[in-house]
Amino acid sequence: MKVDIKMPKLGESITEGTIVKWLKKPGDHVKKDESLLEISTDKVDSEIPSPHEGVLVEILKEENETVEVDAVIARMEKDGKADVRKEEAAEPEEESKAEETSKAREESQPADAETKEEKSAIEQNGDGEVVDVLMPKLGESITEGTIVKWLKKPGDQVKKDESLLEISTDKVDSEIPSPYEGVVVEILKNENETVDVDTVIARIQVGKKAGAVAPKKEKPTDSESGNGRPEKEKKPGKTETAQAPSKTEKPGDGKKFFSPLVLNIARKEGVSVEELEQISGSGLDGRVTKKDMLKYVQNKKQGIAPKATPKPSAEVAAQWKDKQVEIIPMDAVRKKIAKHMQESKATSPHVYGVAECDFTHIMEIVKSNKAEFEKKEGFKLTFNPFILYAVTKALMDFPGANASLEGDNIVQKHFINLGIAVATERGLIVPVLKNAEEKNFRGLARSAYDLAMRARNKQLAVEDVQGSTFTITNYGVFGNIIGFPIINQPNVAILGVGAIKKRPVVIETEQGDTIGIRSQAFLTLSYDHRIVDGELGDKTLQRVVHYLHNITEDIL
Amino acid sequence: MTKYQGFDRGELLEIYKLMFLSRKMDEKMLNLLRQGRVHFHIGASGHEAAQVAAAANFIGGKDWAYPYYRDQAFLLKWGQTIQELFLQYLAKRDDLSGSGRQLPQHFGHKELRVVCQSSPTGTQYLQAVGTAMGAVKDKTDEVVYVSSGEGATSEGEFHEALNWASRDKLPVIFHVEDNHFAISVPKTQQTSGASVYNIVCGYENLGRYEVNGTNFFETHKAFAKAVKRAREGKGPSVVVSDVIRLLPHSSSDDHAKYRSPEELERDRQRDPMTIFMDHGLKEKLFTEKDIEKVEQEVLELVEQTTDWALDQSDPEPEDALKNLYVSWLNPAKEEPPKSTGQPIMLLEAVNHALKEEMERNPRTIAFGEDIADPKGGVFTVTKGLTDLIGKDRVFNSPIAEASIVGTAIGLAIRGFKPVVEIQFMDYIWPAMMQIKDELVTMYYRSNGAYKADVVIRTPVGAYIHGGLYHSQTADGIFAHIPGIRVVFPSNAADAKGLLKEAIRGEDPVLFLEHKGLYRSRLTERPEPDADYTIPLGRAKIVQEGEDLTVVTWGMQVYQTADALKQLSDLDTSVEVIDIRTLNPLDFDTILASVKKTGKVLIVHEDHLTGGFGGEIAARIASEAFEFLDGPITRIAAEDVHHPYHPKLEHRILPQVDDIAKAMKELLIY
Repeated sequence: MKVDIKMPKLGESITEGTIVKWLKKPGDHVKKDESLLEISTDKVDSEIPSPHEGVLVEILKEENETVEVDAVIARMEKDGKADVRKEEAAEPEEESKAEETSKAREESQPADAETKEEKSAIEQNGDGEVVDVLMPKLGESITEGTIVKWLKKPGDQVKKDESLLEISTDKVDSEIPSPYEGVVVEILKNENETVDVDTVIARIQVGKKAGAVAPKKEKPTDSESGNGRPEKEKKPGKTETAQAPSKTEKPGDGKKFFSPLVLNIARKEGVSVEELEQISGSGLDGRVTKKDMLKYVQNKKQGIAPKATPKPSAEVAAQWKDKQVEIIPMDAVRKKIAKHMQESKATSPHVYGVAECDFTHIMEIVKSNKAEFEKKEGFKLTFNPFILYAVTKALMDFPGANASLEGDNIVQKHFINLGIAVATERGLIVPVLKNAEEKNFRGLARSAYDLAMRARNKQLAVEDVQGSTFTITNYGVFGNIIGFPIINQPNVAILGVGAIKKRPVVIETEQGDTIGIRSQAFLTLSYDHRIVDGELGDKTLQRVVHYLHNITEDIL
Repeated sequence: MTKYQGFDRGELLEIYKLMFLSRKMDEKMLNLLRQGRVHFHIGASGHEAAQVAAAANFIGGKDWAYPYYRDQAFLLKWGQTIQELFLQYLAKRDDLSGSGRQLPQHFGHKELRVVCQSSPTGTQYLQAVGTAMGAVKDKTDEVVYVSSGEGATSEGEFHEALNWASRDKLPVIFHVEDNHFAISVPKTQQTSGASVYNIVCGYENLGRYEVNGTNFFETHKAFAKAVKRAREGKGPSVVVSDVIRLLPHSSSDDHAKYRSPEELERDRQRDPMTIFMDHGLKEKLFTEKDIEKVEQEVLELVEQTTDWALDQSDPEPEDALKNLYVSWLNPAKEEPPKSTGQPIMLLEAVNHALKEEMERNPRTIAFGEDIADPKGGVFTVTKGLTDLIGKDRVFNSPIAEASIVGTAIGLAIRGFKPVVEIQFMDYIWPAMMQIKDELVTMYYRSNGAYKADVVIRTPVGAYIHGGLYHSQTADGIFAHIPGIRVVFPSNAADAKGLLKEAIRGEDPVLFLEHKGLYRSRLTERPEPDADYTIPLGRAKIVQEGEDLTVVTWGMQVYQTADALKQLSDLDTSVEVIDIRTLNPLDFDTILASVKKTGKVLIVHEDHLTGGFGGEIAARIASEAFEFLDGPITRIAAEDVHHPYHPKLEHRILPQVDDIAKAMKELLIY
């Protein structure tokens, strides 16, 4: 019977041994406990006695080889007369195991080789290395971002700094330029997915000649359905209409945090993630607490409809089935605008004052300085900076309108950060012109132009949309003359600017009244009556008009 | 034939046989190791004559032995069989030393009173002293044998043991088998004057013997004298046997790397077995034929036993989890006291529990530094105990914490119930080796054969301006250790019930008494009756609530109560749990509470990092994750030491305001 001779473990910490010398060679007859070989380990050198009497058949590890403890180093044929114990009966099985292992090893080798070939093919492509594209951190406090749209798909060539995708973070949307030139190999995160900063979202094979390697996995990116196109293409199946939230929903993906307990209750009570998102929380930073959750569930059971709980989209789709509608799911920006507007109306009792303003004089200043200004500044002179100028001066006179309400305190600000509402493709955005009180007319004009451009090009940083103390919205650009804007929280006032139109106006002069053609506009001030009374609100608006009427060319 | 030095022919051949057997066992065992069947061996080769000579003077089973790992030949003479020793070597299920739990040559045999041995060098001495103390207290003439190499005598505990044994004239024989090397370190680098015999000369009542340990007859004579002295109550002895080490320290060592061939050859010239044989043949005490016959028998016995032992069952993997505690959990329900008396404070509760239990069980023994009357302890916790129970059972120990715990283990082995005091938790550390390596492992490593059910009481805690070394709590360190119960009562009734339970139990217990609570009115409770005990591992809900669970213990129970007053204007209810015992931990009560409230604050006095709160937090996170409605929060001492100035101390300890703030934050979360 053939038996294996193994490398013994010559100490607790010993994991391997070196064969110093074989004292027997194949074919030699060996007695039990007669020395077979000499080994050397980290701790001791030792002669190894044969565990059996028999003939040494095979030496598997040569002198000077270092092998692991328990590795088979030789085989011997036991003498028939030698004692046979239980464990030896089990040895044939062990032997066959050993064979299997060695077969497995052989089989696995070609696969290894392939991988190597693949690797070297990439290496031969010069700089054909595949690199990760990470979700960038677009601001100090930003920890995650939502992928709005992929501008490239797997297989596409991309140049360095060419836009790869659009992302949306808490306040800023941005196009992300590719950090490398190469071919998009893989897209790992789909549109509408929200992922942590530094998550790998795509892979690019770097190099001009890239493309030798086919894109790996073409993950379905949902680009067809999630790319802003109508939902109608998706036919809601029965399972989707079920009330219970589906398993694929990941509550953690939303912006809101839900504790394990809240999620647990939601699962047990069949509260969907959409519902969860709508429950107003009484905990820290509006967190939904256990109590809120239990109250919600109880109300639901008693049939008290929770306020403004939107229906799950599947349900909406089912309701409008076969009707001529287009169901458009709100994107992150839309949801945020909706929430902010609703909150503002719920927070501030709005009062409105409307004033008429004569822009004729300003239009003349613009007209006569247009060419020179554009030449010098690189952008057109409009009447906008005049409004910014007048508002800033008025707010310096009436800081009560440049304030916020925090708890039971009115916080009056001695710096003026003007929020300027800008319409973009995907909705409203309000970049902030900081420290207007420190800027002259041209400074204001330049800052406003810069912010507007960056807003349209999705290049705003988080800091650019934070910290406004007063906001200006200009709906006049669309031709409307009067509006009633909603206050941008936590401001307490917002100025709305209507379209400047030429109108016949009674002009009072010392020589008597005449009717003249003047460029007129209506300005609206919406203010928060909690802390801004009519007197302050109206005086502030009149002061804006006053400064606009009295602007002279020398401010340029 | 007439007797030669008291031995007849048969006895002399038996002595030779045991020496030869031990030698052949070493050789066979090393072969098994080199064949990969075992991974460790430590041999007796060269020590055989001294060991057999020593053992020949004792009565195995009546006397006690604390043999070290090299004492194989000693044990053969003491009464152990070759089969038992092979089962031990191969770590088989039926190994009497511990069913395969311990390294080879870690001996133990309950019937023969061979106390299950550990690996640390020198921990055995104090335990032997404790057992000898017990033998005297029980008025027996038992003698305790304890052995080591010469290297282990450098451990401080050796001298602590000699001090106590000599002071009390205890019947213990210290056998130092001096083979000149501690692993690779020669004794010139080990011992002052390279002589253990010389350095132990100053102890009153201590017998000293220095013998040529390769000479059986010379060693035998020395032991005969030493044992006689001990049996007659004249005191302990040290016997230093000069022996040779024929093998490397262990199978993990190669002495060719530090000993010259000439030196090794010189050792071989002093082989005690050859010396004995040559002497016997020269003196015609036996013949060559006799020797041949004995050797042949031994060789066959070794072969047969090896084959037999290899076939014996291995331990089952599941056995690894058994026999850590005598009782894993007392299944009894917590019952209220049958009757109660006058209100008492924590200090009185401990004092009364000790008095009642010592009166109840005459095997109970209490000792420690300053605990005897008239002082009755530095905090007067043990006041009146000596007067009530007597000096024999309540006495002062030397200022030596390892001595306190080490002798207590030896007493417990001898069947006593030691309740010892470490004067401050801050000074427990010299005893840490005895606690971590000996006390808590004894029951486990012997697979239930020996228990070391010592209760260690120690004052803990800060808030008393005690500085770095009168303030430590350190409960987290001990809660981490398997095999010892950790009890930390907060009030007088709990302290009394829990201490009585600890003393009546059969497992090691660390009983923590907060110095700041000893005389605090807050701890006052009507005194429960003498039969009142509280099963270990039952937390107490101090106050029920719905919105937040506070898990705490010790002094922090009162800090939490104070903090709750700051929340009185909030419409919330807080549940407060006093865990009372860290080990066993009543996690069921915590779990049920957290499932109810969804929020948890853990408050403890030990440092934050690695404190026991971390363990509780981890278990909650793991077992109650889906019930959490807020972050698991901890309040604990800062991770710095306890400074003395009250302002400094205040800064680093958990304060009422900290607890209130954390509770508020969790409640509004």
